[in-house]
Amino acid sequence: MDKRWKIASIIGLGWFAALPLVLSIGYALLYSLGVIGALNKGFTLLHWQKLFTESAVFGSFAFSAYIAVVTIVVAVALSLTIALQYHRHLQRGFFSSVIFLPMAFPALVSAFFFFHALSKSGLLSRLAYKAGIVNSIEAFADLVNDQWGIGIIAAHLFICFPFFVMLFVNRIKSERVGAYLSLAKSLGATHWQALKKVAIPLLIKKTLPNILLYFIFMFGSYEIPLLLGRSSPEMVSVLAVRKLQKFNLYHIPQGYAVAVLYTVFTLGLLIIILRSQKLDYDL
Amino acid sequence: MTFKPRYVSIAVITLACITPVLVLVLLSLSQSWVYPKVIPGRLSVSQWREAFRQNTGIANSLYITLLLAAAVAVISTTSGFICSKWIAYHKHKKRLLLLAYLPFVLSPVILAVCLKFYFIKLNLAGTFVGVLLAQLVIAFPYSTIFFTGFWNRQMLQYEQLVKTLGGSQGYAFKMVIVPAAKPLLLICFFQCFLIAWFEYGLTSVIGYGKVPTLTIKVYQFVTEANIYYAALSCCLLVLPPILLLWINKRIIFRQVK
Amino acid sequence: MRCIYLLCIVAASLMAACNGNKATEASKLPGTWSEIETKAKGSSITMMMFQGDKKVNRYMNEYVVPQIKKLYNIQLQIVPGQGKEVVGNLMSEMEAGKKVSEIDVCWINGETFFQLRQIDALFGPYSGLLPNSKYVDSLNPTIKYDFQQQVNGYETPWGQSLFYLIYDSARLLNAPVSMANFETYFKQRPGRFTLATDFSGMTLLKTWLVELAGGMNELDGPFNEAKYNKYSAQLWQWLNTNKQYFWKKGETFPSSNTTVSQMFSIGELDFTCSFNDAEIDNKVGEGVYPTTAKALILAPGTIQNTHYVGISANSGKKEAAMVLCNFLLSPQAQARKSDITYWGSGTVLDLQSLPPADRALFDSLPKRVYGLQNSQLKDRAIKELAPEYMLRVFDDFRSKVING
Repeated sequence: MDKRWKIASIIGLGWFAALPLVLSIGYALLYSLGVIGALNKGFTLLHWQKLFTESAVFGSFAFSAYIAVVTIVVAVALSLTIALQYHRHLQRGFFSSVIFLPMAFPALVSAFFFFHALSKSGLLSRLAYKAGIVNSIEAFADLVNDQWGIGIIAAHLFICFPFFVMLFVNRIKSERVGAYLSLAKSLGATHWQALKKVAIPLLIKKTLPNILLYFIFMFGSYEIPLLLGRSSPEMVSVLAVRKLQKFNLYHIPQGYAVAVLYTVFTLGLLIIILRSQKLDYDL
Repeated sequence: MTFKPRYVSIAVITLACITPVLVLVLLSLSQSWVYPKVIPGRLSVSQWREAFRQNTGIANSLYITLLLAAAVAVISTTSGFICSKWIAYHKHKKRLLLLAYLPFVLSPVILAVCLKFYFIKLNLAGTFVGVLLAQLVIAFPYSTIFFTGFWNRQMLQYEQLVKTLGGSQGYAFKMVIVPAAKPLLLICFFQCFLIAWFEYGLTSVIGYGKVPTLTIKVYQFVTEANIYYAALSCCLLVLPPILLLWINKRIIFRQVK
Repeated sequence: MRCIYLLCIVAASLMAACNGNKATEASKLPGTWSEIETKAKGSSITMMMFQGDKKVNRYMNEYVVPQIKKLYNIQLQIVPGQGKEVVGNLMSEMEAGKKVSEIDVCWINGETFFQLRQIDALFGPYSGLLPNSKYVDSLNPTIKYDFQQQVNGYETPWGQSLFYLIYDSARLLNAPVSMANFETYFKQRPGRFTLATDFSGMTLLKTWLVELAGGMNELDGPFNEAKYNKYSAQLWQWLNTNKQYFWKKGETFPSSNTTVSQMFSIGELDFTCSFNDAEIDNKVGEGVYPTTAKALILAPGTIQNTHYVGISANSGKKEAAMVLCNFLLSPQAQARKSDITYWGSGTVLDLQSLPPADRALFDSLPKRVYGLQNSQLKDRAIKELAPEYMLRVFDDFRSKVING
């Protein structure tokens, strides 16, 4: 009985977790190599060669990494501040409920809101106009579809910072950060010194795997850059999907090549994370 | 009154969290938002009534999304709970867990475009069951990972204790393990519910647009520049989780992707 | 780890099994139209179409879907998808060897028709079998040829479109018409012009290609690589020199014309473009465009094309699909489609051939007030170029201008 359940579980995991991945990467690889596909004519490395000569692909990986890094750095800084400085307000009361509101937002809705908040005709621009800061619609700065991905970062930040707040609040409790802080203070450290030298390094170290996992999520983000991004550079998911739905049917293999490249990159990163750190399974 | 920067920053964060909800609700009630007006005009509830009465497909989407999310949540929570037990106590726990992380960390839309071929092959593309299975590819591993932390030495000892006292495994499961796991099961249920509730990439690719969940509807209204109906569908997506959050903060007081 | 190898083997065998088996021939259709109608009753069919226009969606959801249900008991589901999605989905289905397509009917034209014919994904010839096809203005070359391709009964004409720009005559007193005019305009009002990376924007680029070629005669006929290279190089150079004066300095372009129209309506842009004759009247009526909005025809003329509906080769409900096509061609459905309060696109029917009662449906329609006037249109319509031009412009605009 026991044995049967065990085998069923492992097969279940294989079926739902590993098989889809193996199938998808296998299909994408074969397609990108011209082995399968209605318009492909047999094995070729041509699509991969084309991919590597196209700067847009590398630009896209770099841009995705940039967005993920900036979002995470800002989110960690913001949520650490909230968790460490405002923990009393997080226990109960209005603030403690309000701060988790963004968790009810799917990425698509966040993107929709930030488009209407930050675009040239958006809420912020209207407020600036009313306040007399700008006198025409063009005068308002580019905050969506912009060079620096400000809109994309804002929309990501909005939905992810409560998770980090929660992560840190839980860790402050489980790692007894309060006790360390009072210890440091009793040894003569100022509040700021205790935070800087004790609490922050401890929390970052303990949550690093979760932060890195978040990096992977953000790297593959789709809906937000689809609505708030520029035509170029695009984030990886947007690029891959565009190439796969291209008007030119002969470019589809390149789209699959991007998908393979992305999967290999993500898997590599995941293995590094899981190998080097003992990941806390508490998601 | 003295100026306290702490309260100012708390006020700013509060405002940042509340504004989007307010704007979405206002836009969903409005029929015009001309630049440079800050507050949308022509506010009335008629739009909500129309959206449900007329041929907009919003009511149908709400129903499909509810059904889909509930099914995903039930299946992935129960199967993930059982599966995680064997993984947690397995000698290759780490390797097996790596498997569970795989589909969960990939961009759903990329996974979907690469898997679409098989779904078509199995006649599942464009069907409710197909989308359900596709979402399980994310939700099931999530739930498995979620529960591995639950199966610790203490649980094992409880189970053994029941056994030594003559109870069957089924008895131990029913009387000890499930009650102990109840809060976690509830949390996982809502997490998986939200994964399905929020999903766009997999649903749009595997579903062909034939399984019009609310996120698909939002995207469709956005592409036709119908911001009022888009905002209305956004409200339908956002308000139920907010309600849950309000009823029981603990339910969402854990991370979901 | 052994599990993974096992999985690889399973995956490889699954993929091997999936290869090669092409879709089989479609089942035979019943002989007469009334038999087709009988067989169609009670079916459910799916139509994939561009859903980026509120009025178009309203026409489909509030008129076509209920009517086809009422008249023939056919359940019609509409799913969103532009040309590239139609082609992508049908191609994936063929690669997977799927016998019965998820898509029965699709809204297509031009390069989509070309690509679908290329992969043999369309059912036909069938359109001659439709009873209402006798009213089609079949002598009209823009209906008979879709982007210079013989239609040959593989798609049913649905409506006619003209491509034109829209501007606000209160803001722009002298609207630019030629490319030289545009260069002056760009410098005078920088940041207020852009084009979408969808078919509308690409049609604007094709119009400019015609202008650079000195007129339609030069590019008429089958795709000519040498001519394309010559004139497109000039076009990309012209765009690259001028894009600094575009919206957001030409570093990014909106992905759909819907966004362009939205930005035009709030005054962020000076121009938008349209394929819909009734767009200005529609939008002025809704209060979205100012009453001073006007249609503008560029120097080379207005590209005129026809949009069609096709039936997928692997549709399992070809009878119902044909009944739908026939309904869409009916004078009633065409008149409703021409109604500027619904869709407002030009009809493909020859009004002279209609029975008087049906012709009256068209005569009683409200007239355009703000949009293109017939006097403006006289002799200005030009043909669509061969579909390869569209495909190449799509590719090269991205690689030479956006990424360039």
